[in-house]
Amino acid sequence: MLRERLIQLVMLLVAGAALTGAAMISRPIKSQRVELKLLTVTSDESIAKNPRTVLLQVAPGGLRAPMLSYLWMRSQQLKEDGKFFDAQQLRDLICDLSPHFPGVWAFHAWDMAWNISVATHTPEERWMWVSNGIRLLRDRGLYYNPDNLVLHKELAWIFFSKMGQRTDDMHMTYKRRWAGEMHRVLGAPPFSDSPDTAVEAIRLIVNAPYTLAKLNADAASADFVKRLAGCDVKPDDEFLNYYNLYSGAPLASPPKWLVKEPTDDKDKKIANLMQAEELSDARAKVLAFVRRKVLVEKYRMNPDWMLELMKLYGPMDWRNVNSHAIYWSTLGLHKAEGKGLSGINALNTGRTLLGGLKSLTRTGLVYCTYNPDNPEEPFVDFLPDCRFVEATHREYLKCGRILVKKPSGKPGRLDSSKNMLRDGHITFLSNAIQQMYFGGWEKMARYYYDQIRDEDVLNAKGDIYKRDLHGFIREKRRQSGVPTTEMSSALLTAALRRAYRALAGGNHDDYLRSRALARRVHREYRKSVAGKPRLKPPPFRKIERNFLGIMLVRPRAMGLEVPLITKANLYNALSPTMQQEIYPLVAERLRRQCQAERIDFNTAFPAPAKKN
Amino acid sequence: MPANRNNDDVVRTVALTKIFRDFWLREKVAAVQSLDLNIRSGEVYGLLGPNGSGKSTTLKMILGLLYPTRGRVTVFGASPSDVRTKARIGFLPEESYLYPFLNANETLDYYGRLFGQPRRERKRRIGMLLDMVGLTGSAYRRIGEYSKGMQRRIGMAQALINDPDLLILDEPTSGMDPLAARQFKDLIKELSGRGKTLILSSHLLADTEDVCDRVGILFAGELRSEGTLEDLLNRASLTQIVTERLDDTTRDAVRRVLNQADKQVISIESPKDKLEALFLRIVRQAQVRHQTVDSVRTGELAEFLRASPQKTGRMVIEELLAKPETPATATEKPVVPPPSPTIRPKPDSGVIAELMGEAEEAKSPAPQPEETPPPPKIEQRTDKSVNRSVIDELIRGDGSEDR
Amino acid sequence: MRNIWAVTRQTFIQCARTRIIVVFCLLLAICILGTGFKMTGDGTLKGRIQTFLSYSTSLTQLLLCLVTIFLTTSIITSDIRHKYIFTVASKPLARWQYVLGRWCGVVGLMGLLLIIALGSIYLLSQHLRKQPTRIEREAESGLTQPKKPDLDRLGVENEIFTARDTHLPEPPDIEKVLRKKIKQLIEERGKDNLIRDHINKTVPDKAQAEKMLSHPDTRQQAFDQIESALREQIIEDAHLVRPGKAIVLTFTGLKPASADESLLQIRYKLNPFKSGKTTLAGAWQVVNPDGPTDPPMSRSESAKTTSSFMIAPRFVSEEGRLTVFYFNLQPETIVKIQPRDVVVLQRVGGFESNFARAGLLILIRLMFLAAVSVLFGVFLSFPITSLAVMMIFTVGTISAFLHDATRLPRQGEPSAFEYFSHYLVKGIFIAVPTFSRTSASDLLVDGEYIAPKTLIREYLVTFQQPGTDSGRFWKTINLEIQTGMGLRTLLALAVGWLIFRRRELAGIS
Repeated sequence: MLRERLIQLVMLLVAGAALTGAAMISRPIKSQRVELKLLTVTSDESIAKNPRTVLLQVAPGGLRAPMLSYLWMRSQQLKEDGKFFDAQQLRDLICDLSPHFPGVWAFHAWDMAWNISVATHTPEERWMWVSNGIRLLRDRGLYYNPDNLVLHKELAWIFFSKMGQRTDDMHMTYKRRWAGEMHRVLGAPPFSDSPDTAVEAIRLIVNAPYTLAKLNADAASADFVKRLAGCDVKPDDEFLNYYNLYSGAPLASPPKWLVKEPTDDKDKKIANLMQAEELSDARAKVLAFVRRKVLVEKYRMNPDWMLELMKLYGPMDWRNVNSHAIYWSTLGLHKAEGKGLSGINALNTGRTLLGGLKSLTRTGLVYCTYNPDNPEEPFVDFLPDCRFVEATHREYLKCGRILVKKPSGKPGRLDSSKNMLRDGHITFLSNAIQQMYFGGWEKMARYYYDQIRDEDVLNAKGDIYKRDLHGFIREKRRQSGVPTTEMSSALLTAALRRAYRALAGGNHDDYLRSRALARRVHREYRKSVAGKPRLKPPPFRKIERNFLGIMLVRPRAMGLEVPLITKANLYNALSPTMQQEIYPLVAERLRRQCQAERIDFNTAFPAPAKKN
Repeated sequence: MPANRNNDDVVRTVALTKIFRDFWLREKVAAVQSLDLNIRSGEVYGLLGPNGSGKSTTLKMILGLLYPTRGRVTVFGASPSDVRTKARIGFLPEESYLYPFLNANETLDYYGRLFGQPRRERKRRIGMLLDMVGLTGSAYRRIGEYSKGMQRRIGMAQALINDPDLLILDEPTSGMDPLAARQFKDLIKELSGRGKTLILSSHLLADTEDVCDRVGILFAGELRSEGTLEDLLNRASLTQIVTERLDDTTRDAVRRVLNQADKQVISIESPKDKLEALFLRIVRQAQVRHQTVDSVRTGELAEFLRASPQKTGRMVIEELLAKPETPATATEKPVVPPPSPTIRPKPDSGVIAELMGEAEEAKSPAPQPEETPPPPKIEQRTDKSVNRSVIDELIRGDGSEDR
Repeated sequence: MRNIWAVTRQTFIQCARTRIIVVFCLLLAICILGTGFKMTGDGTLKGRIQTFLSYSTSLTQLLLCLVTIFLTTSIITSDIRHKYIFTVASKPLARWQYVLGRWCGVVGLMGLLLIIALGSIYLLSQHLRKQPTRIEREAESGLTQPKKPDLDRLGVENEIFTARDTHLPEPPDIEKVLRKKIKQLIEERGKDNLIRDHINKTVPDKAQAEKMLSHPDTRQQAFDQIESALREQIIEDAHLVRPGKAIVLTFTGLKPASADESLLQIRYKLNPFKSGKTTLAGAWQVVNPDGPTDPPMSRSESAKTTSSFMIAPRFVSEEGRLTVFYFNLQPETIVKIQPRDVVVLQRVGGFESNFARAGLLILIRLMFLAAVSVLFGVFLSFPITSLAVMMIFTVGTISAFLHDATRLPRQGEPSAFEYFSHYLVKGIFIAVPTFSRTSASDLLVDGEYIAPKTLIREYLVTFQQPGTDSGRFWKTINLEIQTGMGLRTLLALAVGWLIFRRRELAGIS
């Protein structure tokens, strides 16, 4: 009896001691959990918002870790077996079980976008996995870890490397899909040589009201929203479909002749709303509101940040994946600022930014053509864009200055050996100079050539830099080993191609400039071979006509991919004289193509007006 | 089969010994030691002994639920685990070990199936048995909901489903009120009358006394004494005369006559009723008024429980059943009241309630034997030294040795 | 026989009346309906059906396994604990009949539940099959005209709702190559020189080497060593595709196009050899030895990940042959293709019968678990029995992982602990079956044919891949002979009976 009492007493003491001990360490554990952001269930609000995540945090209790291990193993095993049907759900679950470990999000997003995607062999599947990776990071990973640099970097890296570069054999699919999505939301930026035009277009979105209530504060907008509601259309994602389809806005809609007239009453009413002249102001306001809403809610992008970037770097076209690489890397750096940036991550993120800017100089000009077979995957052309040279140059300089900064804090020389970026900078500028030179921006080319040579800037030494700009270009050409004739013909073709692509895309400025360049090249070449009749080129007009004929009928012969709709756009943008000249050459072939694609030939390629 | 039904031994044990071992295989308890039993066909054999004396162990060895450590046991000349042997045995365990989720009908059906009875025969027997034990009205109630008495009755029914030649009843009346116990005992007698061999174990001596042809008394695993009740209880040296009440003069006269015959008068007194007889009488009177019952047996004995060719059989039973109600004695038949099985008895007098309570308690302190008579001649088989005082001691032994 | 049936029937009733079965049935229904209507997979119809099949069948299996364990264990142990067995055992029922009857009852009930569960899964899968794919949806709504083949639909019909047998490529004739090579070596250097070089290389002691050279036995030994080293080399080489080179894989025993019109699938996994490359550029070309050839199809592949493509049946010759070329287009990386890394799948039967066989695969697990529960239940208490059986179930389920985790390292001498764990796990799986070896749900998801020989393997014994002439080629693959679960079930029941027969049902009372 006594013994039993004794045992009871001892056990009681042990229990008491254990309880006290637990109570003592519970406070530091709790504070550590808060510190390390291991708490999900912090408020009723978070429970209401993410019941699933909260449930997954709490319900498995001590089994969470083994559950995670099992899920992780299964996800990797299934991946090895080439079975991806469950991959996304498994990864969602894994991430939901450990939402505050950025590494987990980063790993699984990377796994989907890079590993699983390449194990599939159709464009649809590829894009699905790449976008799954993007969504996992952007929509969920960043939701739980909004300030994390690693997640921003990974996201930027998918845009820059996976989608933006050419290592993946289906990179064009990603670029086209993304351009399609963004085109749907934002349309094309207005064409202008002045960067401000594009910035102003975004500013409309930035200034749009945040909430529906604010939108409705404006009487005209409220009326428009009401009318929309009368047609069962809400001012959200759905609105964009109708706007793009029926408004006929040159920057957002497919060519008018391609859009079928609405047949049912509802669509007729909607089409009317989208087209009515007297509603254009209200419509523009609602459009800006919807664009803002979709950007923020679906793409989790901050229009203000977009605007800031455009002011800083130039008229970024958001249909270009590189713009998004820049967006996420800069946002990550910005948010992580003052939070103990870990060196390697900051550096890599900075590199992504630089890479994105460099890519923009090569591909920044985007022409997007509606694809009736697959509206989600429009035809897209990316052309070099000199407007980003300056931004890239500045970024190079900025990074270089950081690298050469002396320990004392005094600025160092950019040509010191510490500037690891200097060679890349010079190479970039050399290429950009040639691009500008041949693109007709000679003055700009000269400026950057001086930057290369400037003692206080890059201070490039070497014989080639001792020449003047023409000499430099000639030497560069010589180094590339292309004979003058071929070079001229290539230049001529490139200029014409750019000119007519611009014309088809509605970019008149670029058309005129590029065509002028083509003429100049032709003139120069004619001059240079004046003494050799054998090499004498045909007249420019003839070259231009032949070029157009090829571009309209069999563009593949020039290594071009020109969809029928672009052809139609191009044809309709030609001067009547040129139309008259070209029509007999191409009509028959185009008619057959139209038949194959079930497009009305006479609408797409109307016969030119008869000669007077 | 009928060959065994004559005077052959139905159960025979030779030097049967059972030693229980603990987890480490150390010998722990010698539950049964060198037991030699011969139970003959048609007899009612009672195994007596206090709790823990080895009665149950012996029965379980006879049933093949336990294996002997040494010695041998045969039932109908074969091993108890032989399936053919078991087909002829009916067993009522000391408690109702029946599936609580089955109803009475399903229970009997299941056990009937285990005997491989064809469907029609099974149905017939189940109907009759349920009728016999008065559970027809509760046939579709789960056994788990049954009262203890009802469970004993369905237990009895399952033991009889195969019309066994050997019926083994372990503490058949335990937990029963005296009325039910009485009816149970009558049933046993009836079955015995139909030629069944019965083995019953009990520590309630009254039970045994009423029904057993032969008893064996076990203590600490050893058979201390065995014989017919006649042999064990008959006091050949005494004569009891029962007359109408005598006045003192007549008594003296009797005394004188006896003295003349050189016989000593040991005692002259008014006979007392046995408590059981009193109880039965009172309850029966109450029953006549209330027509309620909760009895072991309310209906006719199931017809398939076949009659023995040797015994008087059905005629005897019918005769017994037909007997008019007479003042109860220890061996009296109870009146069979009209069946109304679902209604529990409602004794109306406080006396009965008291008696009932007493009857419940009467389980452990066994009824005391009559006042100290001279030792009777006991046929001593296993231990010559066992005498009456040992038995007294045995009988007084309560649950303290119960393991 | 009758009384076995009586026990079976009784068990059936008993199980059906427990609450646990109601709970499990409810869970089962929730799982099946939930996975059917809630899970979307990767967004494609094929993915959705695969996810549904995978989760519903594996959850069904899991739940039924658990319920089998708990029911069997509880009814057997409660019989003994509550002494119901006294009444039962005193009836003319042999112990083996009791054991068998109990087992049959549980298995019967589980079989019934399995049929119901699989029946609903089947119906649901057919319902899902009728759902439109994305392309079909678009075509219906008139948004786009389907121009390209609907890969999703093709996948659903040709990869899931089918039963496809797996064909391995013909193994290369190693011995022939070896003979050629030896002959060439002997011609070049002479046999004596070969042996001399070999001995000099392996035996540093000169006198010893001389001694060995002079003795014909040791010379023969040395020659054998040369031969076996060469053989290893050739086997290794047979799996390697060097940059710019191709490997030819021939598949035989296929059904020609005239016999079966359905698409074939080639499934492969490429491993970069001693390289960490994650994507591999390569090209595949499928050739009908008697007829049409498609131009090579170049692809960039994810390394170490199974990939596949469809093949039109016209590439199978009338003799059932199909040749596949793989070109390694990497500039530097060697690609290694293990013998089982490239397979061709061809339809051999329908989905329905395969689905039924998948049910048999699940059933054998239930049978086994019921038998083991009986085995332990007849002499242990409920908690211990259920724990023990749960352990066996868990260990069996993660067997593949355990085998992998305790594999002896290829390089270096394994430590004592590694030896211990390796042989411990090996020992455990002598008794415990590897549940993960054949997974019904994996096979269904892939539309893989569950061959009678698979069933035989699961129920009776494992038959190893039939030896070919160059048997040594296959010996590099893990050779295992194992008894199937059916035999283990019988064994467990037999042992259970033996224990139960000797078991005294009544303790001290």
